[in-house]
Amino acid sequence: MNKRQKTLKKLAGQKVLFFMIIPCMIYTFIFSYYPLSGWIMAFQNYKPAKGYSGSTFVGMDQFMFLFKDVEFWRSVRNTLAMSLLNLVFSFVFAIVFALLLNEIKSLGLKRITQTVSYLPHFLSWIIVCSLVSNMLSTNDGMINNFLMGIGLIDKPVLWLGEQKYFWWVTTFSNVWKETGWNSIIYIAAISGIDQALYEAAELDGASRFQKMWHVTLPGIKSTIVVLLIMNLGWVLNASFEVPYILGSGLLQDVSQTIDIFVLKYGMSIGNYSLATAAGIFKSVISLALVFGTNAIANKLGESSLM
Amino acid sequence: MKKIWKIRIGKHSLGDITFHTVNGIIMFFIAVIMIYPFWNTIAVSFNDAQDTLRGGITLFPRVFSLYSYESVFKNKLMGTAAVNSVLRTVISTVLGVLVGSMIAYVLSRRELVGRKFITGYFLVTMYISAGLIPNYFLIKNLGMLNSFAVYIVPGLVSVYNIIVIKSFMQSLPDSLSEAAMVDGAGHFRCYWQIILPCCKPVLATIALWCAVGSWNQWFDTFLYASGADHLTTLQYEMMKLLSSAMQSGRDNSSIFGNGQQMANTITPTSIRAAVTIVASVPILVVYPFMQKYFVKGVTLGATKE
Amino acid sequence: MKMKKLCAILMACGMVLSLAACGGSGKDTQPTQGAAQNEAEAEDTKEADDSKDQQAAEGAEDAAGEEAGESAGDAQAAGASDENIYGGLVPMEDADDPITYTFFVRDPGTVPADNNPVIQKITELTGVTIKFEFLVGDLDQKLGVMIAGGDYPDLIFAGDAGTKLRDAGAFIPLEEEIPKYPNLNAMYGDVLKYLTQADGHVYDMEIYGTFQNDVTEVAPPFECGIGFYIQKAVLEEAGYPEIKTLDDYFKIIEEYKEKYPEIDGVKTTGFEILADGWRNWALLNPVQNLLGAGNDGAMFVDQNTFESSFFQNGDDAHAFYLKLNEEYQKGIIEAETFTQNYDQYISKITTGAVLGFYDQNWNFQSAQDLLKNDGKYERTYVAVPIANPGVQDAYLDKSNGIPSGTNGVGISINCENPERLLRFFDWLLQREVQDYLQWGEEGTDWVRSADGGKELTPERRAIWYDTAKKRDETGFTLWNYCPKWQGLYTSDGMPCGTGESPDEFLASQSDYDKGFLNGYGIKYPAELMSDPVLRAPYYPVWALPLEDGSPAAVANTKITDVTMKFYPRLILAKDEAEYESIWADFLKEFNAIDLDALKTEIDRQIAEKMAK
Repeated sequence: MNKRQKTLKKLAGQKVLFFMIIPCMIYTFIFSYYPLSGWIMAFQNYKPAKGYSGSTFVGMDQFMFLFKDVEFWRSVRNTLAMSLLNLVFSFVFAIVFALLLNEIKSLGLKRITQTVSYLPHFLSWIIVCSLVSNMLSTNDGMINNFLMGIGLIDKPVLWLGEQKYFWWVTTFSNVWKETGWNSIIYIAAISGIDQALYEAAELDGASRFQKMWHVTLPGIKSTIVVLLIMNLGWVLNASFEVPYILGSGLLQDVSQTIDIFVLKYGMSIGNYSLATAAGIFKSVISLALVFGTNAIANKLGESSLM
Repeated sequence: MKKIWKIRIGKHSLGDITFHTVNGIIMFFIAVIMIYPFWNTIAVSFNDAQDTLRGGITLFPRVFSLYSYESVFKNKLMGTAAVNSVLRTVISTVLGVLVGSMIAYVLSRRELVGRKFITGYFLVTMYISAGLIPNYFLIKNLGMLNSFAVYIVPGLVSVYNIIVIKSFMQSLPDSLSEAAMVDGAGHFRCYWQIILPCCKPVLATIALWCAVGSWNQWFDTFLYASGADHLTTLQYEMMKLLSSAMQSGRDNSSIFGNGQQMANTITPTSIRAAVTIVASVPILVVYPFMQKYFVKGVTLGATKE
Repeated sequence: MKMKKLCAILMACGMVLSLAACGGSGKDTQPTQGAAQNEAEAEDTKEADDSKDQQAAEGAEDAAGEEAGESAGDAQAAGASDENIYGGLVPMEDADDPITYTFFVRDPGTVPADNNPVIQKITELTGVTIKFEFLVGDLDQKLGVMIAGGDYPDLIFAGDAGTKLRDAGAFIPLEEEIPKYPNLNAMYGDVLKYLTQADGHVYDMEIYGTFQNDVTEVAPPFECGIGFYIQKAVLEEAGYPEIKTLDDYFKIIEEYKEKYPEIDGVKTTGFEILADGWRNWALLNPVQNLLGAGNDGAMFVDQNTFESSFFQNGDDAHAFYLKLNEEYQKGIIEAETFTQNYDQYISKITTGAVLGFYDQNWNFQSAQDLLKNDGKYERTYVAVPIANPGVQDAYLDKSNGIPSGTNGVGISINCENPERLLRFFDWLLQREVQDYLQWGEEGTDWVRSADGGKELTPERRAIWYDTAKKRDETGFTLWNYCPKWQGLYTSDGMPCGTGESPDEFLASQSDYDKGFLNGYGIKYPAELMSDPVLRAPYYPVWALPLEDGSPAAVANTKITDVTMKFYPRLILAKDEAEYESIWADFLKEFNAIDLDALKTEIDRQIAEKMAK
């Protein structure tokens, strides 16, 4: 009784909060949850011409098609490998870049470096990949020329023809294109750190690196953790374009990702149901990953999403 | 050893100077590496399309030509497209930041009843997608096909952005809002007058994300508004041009001709370069504008007033 | 499906230029062009689509239409010219009652300028305005939502994706309508049975080079559209030999490379194999040509029993890739060929230092144009008739004039006045109108050549070979996407379009090319090949629709996947032992595919088409 009254009172005190949030929840329901009724097509052999009601139900067939195919599991492995490499390296590079940038004293140099660094984000992957491919060429490619010039190798390496290099090529292509863009949020987070903390640290005689380690990093830690958890949820979605553009028959075993697999066997041959089934599979894994890591972060006393 | 770094020259220690030199050099190289793709794209966009096929364009055009840009700008829909793109970007950004920060504020309140559930409710939507056709039905049933609303409404709530803002707000000292609430301010005032001003750096970032996201979008025009010329956007016109170039770049090649009459050729590579420049330069200018919100650190004490 | 489209295009392309359509290969089209999920992808997709289309467009442009029911057409044309104004063009009776039709085209493209004088005049004469919407992004996505929502424009040209629209009931039946219009009937009357779907209705009008009628016939091919290409200088150096087998082909390439390790300062490359995404025919298709097939598809079809079989895993394939492996060991083929993208391939050819490759004409045209621009005519290419010993090559085909079912324009159920639209199409099919759309006006745009043929004037040629001008100043777009005559008019042998005109072809040959052709004693490059083959009614396999998501469609995709993965490895094998072990792995994976599903489906469809 008492408890309920308390809750009611609490609710009453929060009516403004609910007034702010409820319309947004309704909106989200309409735009995100309601269309999920379309997931029904994953259990059908859906034909746009027949609609949901006219298409035949096939139970779990679409899922079975995926799960029974060795190629699919290989795609899962490739996707995970490339996404995780990419996640780790893009985080590390973006954070280190943001930290170093923060140390630049000259405002002009700082601004220029920052502005220049995010330019590649605006180029399409087709453009970036074609530059990557030219640089890695055995035929007068910049990388091979350089490595031969300093004597590390004595004949050109076929970077894009050997499976063992491919994941690294995709990872560093990504680092090249997105580091500047990814660092923006950290730069913002760093500038949100209370200057008083630095002053205090200075009084304590902290060195530059000590300040980075004990003030700056903790100051952006919550941002890092939150972004990391959220991005972890997308590991199965990531890495579509680069492997798609740079991959070739020789590399198929390491370059085919889930999305490429679904493209070939789903959309390209008009199988919307398969694409939907794969989407559901990815959603389930994503949610498990996000809520799992979130719980772990909570346990560790880190900041988390919820 | 350690002492050496403490040697002072003027008011800087030797360690400082070494660090800044090394750091400056590293940053310079990073800047060079990062600017290369864009620079190269500019060079290609100003190079003769046919000559570009030979490959090997790096820093400067080899055979200067403005034809790629001419092809871009002679499109009679460019004006409409630019206006729509700017409008949708401005509106989406303003609304995106407002709505996002409002939801973030609510979710950041520890006292909120059912906070965990509500956060989860939003969070889940990041990882689920109904797919192309169900979403199309939704837009159609809401009567938003071929209307400007389709550029604004469906992307209004970005959970990713909300979580980022929320986590920033949570890192602000509780004393900030407590003081305000004690003064009798309601949640709305607290959000608007106390919390928001402290969030400038993160809001600037979110604004940038919203703006770039909205500006770069062409898919919604393709799916939901391709029937209406007056709703076209810059990115969509660029996509049209590019796809058309990919088609015609080849069919204009004079199969029988001896090659002489090929002066005004367009190729996908050249058009893509010109289109990239035309479509990205307007949005690039937004960044330096946002930059001022995060080159300088915020001093929380000052915003309290 | 997509493959089909691609193939279709390829095929059309092949036909193009009246180069006889040699068939691209069949398996080629990798379904890569799937859903565009993001910009880059979409671009890529588009690229794929475009090229297809472009081919189709070219095909359209030049493909020789074939015969048609002349009587009606000619009669009407004759009748028309009696009361003509505007030099032979007669206005339609309701020309003063303007009407607009929306027209979705599955090709990417640009809408002709509003002030296009030809299209303006057509509108003035007919009252009809066609509002084109070209594809941007991914076709499957576009059609998926169009069908799901029932939001159809008045007219749709969806190529091989038309199956989806037909299944959805998007089109109105035309079998009762077509006979009412003399020109349309002349074009489609005799082939209605091939256009008739399983439900007994006709839903679309094929627009590319397909009709059995008495009005036009196939134009002879000038150039071969697909095959093993070799640099003219190599043949010249060897004294214009007859090259018939792979051994001959590689032998002269090896000799030339030995003698000229560098060409214009660039290291000589013997043989290139492009295998970039959907442009994979150089890797996957040659075997069927060696067996004497045209551009059939992923299957080889016995031309006596019309039973299909797989050539990918047979002894011929084994021997072919072993030969390529041998050439790799000799340094004629380089490993990088499998990692390069299309742009790199083109830029390599533009150096003039590549001696040979297997490809389709349109795919390397841009490089060849540059070589011509540089005056390096001896570095341009010609196809040679390579086949297995004892097998006659069949690169060139003579269209059988039977609609493939993959290139039809349909009128949607949302169209409010289909009768007027059909009347408009019928009107367009008058010879005067057709000539006006393609050739323009006599005297200013084209002239009679010495032997009575047709040739463009230099001014008009400059327009015709400039995409933007062709689109904005001629009737090309309208002509291209509406029912049209192609080939040579049977009544007087005049070409329907510029691509079918021998005079136009000869007028543009360089002196070097004339000398080269002289060396072989031939008039057109295509004469190096065996005579064009008249194809059976089912032809080609790639145009047969596979049901979306069916086991046959899946098997088709798998075949591409597995072959794309293993063939490069075979070619790059270190030695014969490794080759054999890779081959064994390949057989294991290839034979694990549900091949029967595809074969059964293809055999069923072939039998069905052959029975008509």
